Amino acid sequence: MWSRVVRTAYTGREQHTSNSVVTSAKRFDRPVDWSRSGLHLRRVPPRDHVHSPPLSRWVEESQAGRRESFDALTRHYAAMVHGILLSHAPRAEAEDLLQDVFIKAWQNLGGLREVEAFGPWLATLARNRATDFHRRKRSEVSIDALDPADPSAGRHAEAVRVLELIRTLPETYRETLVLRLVEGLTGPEIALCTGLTHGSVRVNLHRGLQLLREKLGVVK
Amino acid sequence: MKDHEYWWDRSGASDPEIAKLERLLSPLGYRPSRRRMEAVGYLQAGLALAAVLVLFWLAEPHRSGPPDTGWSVNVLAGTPRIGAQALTGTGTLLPGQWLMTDDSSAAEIVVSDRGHVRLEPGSRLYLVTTDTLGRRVRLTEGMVHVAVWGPSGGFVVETPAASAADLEGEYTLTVDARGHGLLCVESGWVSLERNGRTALVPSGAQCEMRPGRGPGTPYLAGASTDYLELLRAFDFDSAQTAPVNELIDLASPCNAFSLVYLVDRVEPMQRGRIFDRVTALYPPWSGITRAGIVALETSMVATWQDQFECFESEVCRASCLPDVL
Repeated sequence: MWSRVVRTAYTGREQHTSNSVVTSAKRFDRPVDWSRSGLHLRRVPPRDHVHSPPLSRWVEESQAGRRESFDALTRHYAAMVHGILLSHAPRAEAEDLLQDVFIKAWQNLGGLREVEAFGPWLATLARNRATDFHRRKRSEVSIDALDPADPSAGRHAEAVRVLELIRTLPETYRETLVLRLVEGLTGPEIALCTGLTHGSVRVNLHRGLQLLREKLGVVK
Repeated sequence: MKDHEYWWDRSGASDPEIAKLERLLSPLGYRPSRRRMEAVGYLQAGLALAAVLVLFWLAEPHRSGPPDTGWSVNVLAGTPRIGAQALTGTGTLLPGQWLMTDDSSAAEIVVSDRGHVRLEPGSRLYLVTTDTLGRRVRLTEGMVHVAVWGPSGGFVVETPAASAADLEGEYTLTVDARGHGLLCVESGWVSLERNGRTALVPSGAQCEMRPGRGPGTPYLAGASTDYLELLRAFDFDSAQTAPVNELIDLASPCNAFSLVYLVDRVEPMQRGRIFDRVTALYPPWSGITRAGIVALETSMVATWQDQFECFESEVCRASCLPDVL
């Protein structure tokens, strides 16, 4: 029996329960409206925390050689780096390139003078790595081939097609769209990670979505 | 534009076109290595061995470095106690000491510079070690709210039923007088482990645990009463025949998530039924096939579970939490 104040996992709000969590669930056991559209999974961005991750301190500790602090930075920025790479290179290559970017970051971290600039600096490393990839003229063919009989193959092909359309957009729009639609970062998170101003991200995202809709033939 | 901010930060009403693009494209996004997370289970076992090695290392006469120091404790309400000592204002909790709160007191532990642990009223917590190799506390009764950042598995809360190791995030852990535990994860992942039985619980999910059995199957907070009762029978009641078919029949957006975590604990035929039922609700990511799930291909099962990594179904949210929307 949980005769305590129970914090719900969803909202963080507190609810007083006089019984167990079963009672708590019973309060919400209502018929589901199956006719609702928008039934989907959504990557939820990190919630606001009272204690935000100490990014600057992790950078300083990484510069001092602490691998676990660099591991924490890697986890925090992996989606951003992957998104930037994905906006320039095939998905099959993005994983390998991701590793290359973080290895390079670790090796060159000592040269970073402003710890607050780590995110934009890392974004630049990712773009440079993607450019280097194209210079070496690796195969552009994705190796994510699926069995045509697999019912999910059609969805994957459609996703790749839309990603290819995004890649035809101007670079500033391309990256922002991939970070928003593929990696699930919100506009404010994109600004925070990349060092762009909110205004710049807003413009890139808005115009990028407009262009993408035109290419998809969607009338808004 | 201000009236329709979903495209910017997902606020306001969902934009159907953008939501559709998100659903389509998100499978192409970055997926953290789940094997790294699963390794935390081994890490917890390894930490015990590491702790023994550290004890030998500490015994070496030439060793120098900071001793296992305590953590700062702030009073949030009433008069908590450290051992027999009543606490007012601030204090220090040392390894080997108990921090206790009565029904009207609460306290906050500052975990070095990695975050904090809030001890709610009516709780008892024992500090095992503050060593950076593996910070560890033991909750024998009551509730803690943990918000700790740092290396995966770097902070462990032991309970009578299971040990919880965070993979960077925020969660609440409750233990009742019988030693039964409940974990609610608000962000990040938390790994539960006991006697070789593990559960990886993502943001938005809960998991119960029982002494002698360890952790059960994670589920969403909005799962129905009927479903939870069946799940508890499956997880903890060895006298009953596992009600897997009934669980599958009750699948809905609110509880499909936990079915995915059952696949490696049921018969092949039931795995196929689970796959059919869950994918009817949520199309699987590319590369995930029925045959692969039935055959329990390890990486495919892990990828399928990753699909529910950070779950918030709009339908489930709307129907399960009407009071807060």
